[in-house]
Amino acid sequence: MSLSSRRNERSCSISDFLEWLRGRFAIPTERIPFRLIPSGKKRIRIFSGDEGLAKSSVVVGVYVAKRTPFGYVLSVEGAQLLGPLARKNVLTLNQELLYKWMLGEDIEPPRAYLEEGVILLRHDRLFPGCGYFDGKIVRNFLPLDRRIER
Amino acid sequence: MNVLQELESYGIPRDVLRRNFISRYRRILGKEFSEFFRYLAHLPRRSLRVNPMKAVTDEEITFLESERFRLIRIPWYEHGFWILSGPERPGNTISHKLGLIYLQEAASMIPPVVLDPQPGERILDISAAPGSKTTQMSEMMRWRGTIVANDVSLPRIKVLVSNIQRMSSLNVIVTRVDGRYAHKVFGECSFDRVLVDAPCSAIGQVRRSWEALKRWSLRAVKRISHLQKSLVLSAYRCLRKGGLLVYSTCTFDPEENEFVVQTLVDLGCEVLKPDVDGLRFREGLTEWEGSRLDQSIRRTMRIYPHHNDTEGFYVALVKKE
Repeated sequence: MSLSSRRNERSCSISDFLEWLRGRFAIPTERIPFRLIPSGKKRIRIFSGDEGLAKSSVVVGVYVAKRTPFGYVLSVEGAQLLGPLARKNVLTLNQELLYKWMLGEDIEPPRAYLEEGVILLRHDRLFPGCGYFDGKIVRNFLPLDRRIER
Repeated sequence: MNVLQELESYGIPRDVLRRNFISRYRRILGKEFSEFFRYLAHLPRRSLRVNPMKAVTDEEITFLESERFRLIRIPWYEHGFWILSGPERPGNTISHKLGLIYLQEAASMIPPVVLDPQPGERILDISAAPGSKTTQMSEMMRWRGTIVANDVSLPRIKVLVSNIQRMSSLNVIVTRVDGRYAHKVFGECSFDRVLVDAPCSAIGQVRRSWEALKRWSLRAVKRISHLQKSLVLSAYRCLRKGGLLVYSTCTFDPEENEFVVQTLVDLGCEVLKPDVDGLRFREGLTEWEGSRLDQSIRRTMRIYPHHNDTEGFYVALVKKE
């Protein structure tokens, strides 16, 4: 299926996002210990404080996911906060591949046990974000300012 | 050897020092004058905070070691460490990019330690950018309760937001309000604790750059003192009765420190003695250039660079009666 055919212009809702997490990563969403809140039309954030104080705010809490034409993309923090609950579509990286990932490079996974689409990366207990697996290569979604320089 | 020659011998360039700065700081520092300037000429030890949200297990500490960090604990903050040795650019490590660590000067960890925010409380950080103390307070509260992290400058807010994100500070709201009018926006008596880490002439940061020495003038000190008093008065109005306020700067001119705290004392605030493990400091001044201040201001802390081999800070803890 091409990316364009998956285009979905719906604005995001928390229930939609939770359903996606269940389907994509088999996350038992009832075990998520955080309060998710919508932010604008496309973003989801986690906020543990008092929303009553949020009037006149610029930003509330931590950005965890953004709706895209091919599902949701998790931020680095989204991967770190939700990743430990994921049961599938997680690619384990060794130290060498982690370094490559953090440089912003795409990765060819050694074994094809991943479904096409958004996947999580992990190294031990670290979750360095998410990428898009096209059946062959994991495209690197790490933002430029979170990458290391050689 | 005259004083300029003495300071030059420590490695301080002659052209960054104004004569009235030297004579004034001689009066402020007394017999600590030479040691103070000797330390100003040298870079401070590098330090960092380990983020307990992301790095608490042995595996993660091992990961820091795999990036060649050798750390030793800072006595006054449980997650603070001096870097004994480590990568040349700690900001370009995986640990930093993933938010396992935050590079923060050891003395800058002191104001949150003194304020001691508790889980579930409402905290105002009135001039929060770049977010070192905000993110530290968030972890001290175990991400429970609410921190309103305010700043007025948009470019600085961008850095603040980025650091809050990287450190996963889940209980923080960022606002953009002129701090002098914070009480009008957030309401009177609406916070349990307030941190006023005020903009200042930044002489305490001279160990990193000579810029503050080049910019220093008595006129600038007086101008910024006026802004600091406006900020602290608005912060005071935001604070509930019985609430705690920490006023801090990274400079040593009394007009920017003790005289600002005196305005709170005049409103009936009580100055409390902070309790910080393993910290050396000098008590606050109560007399300056013919003006007498309240004796309780002695309980405030002047943390000079040579006391703990850090940057310099001034920290006061007051309670609203």
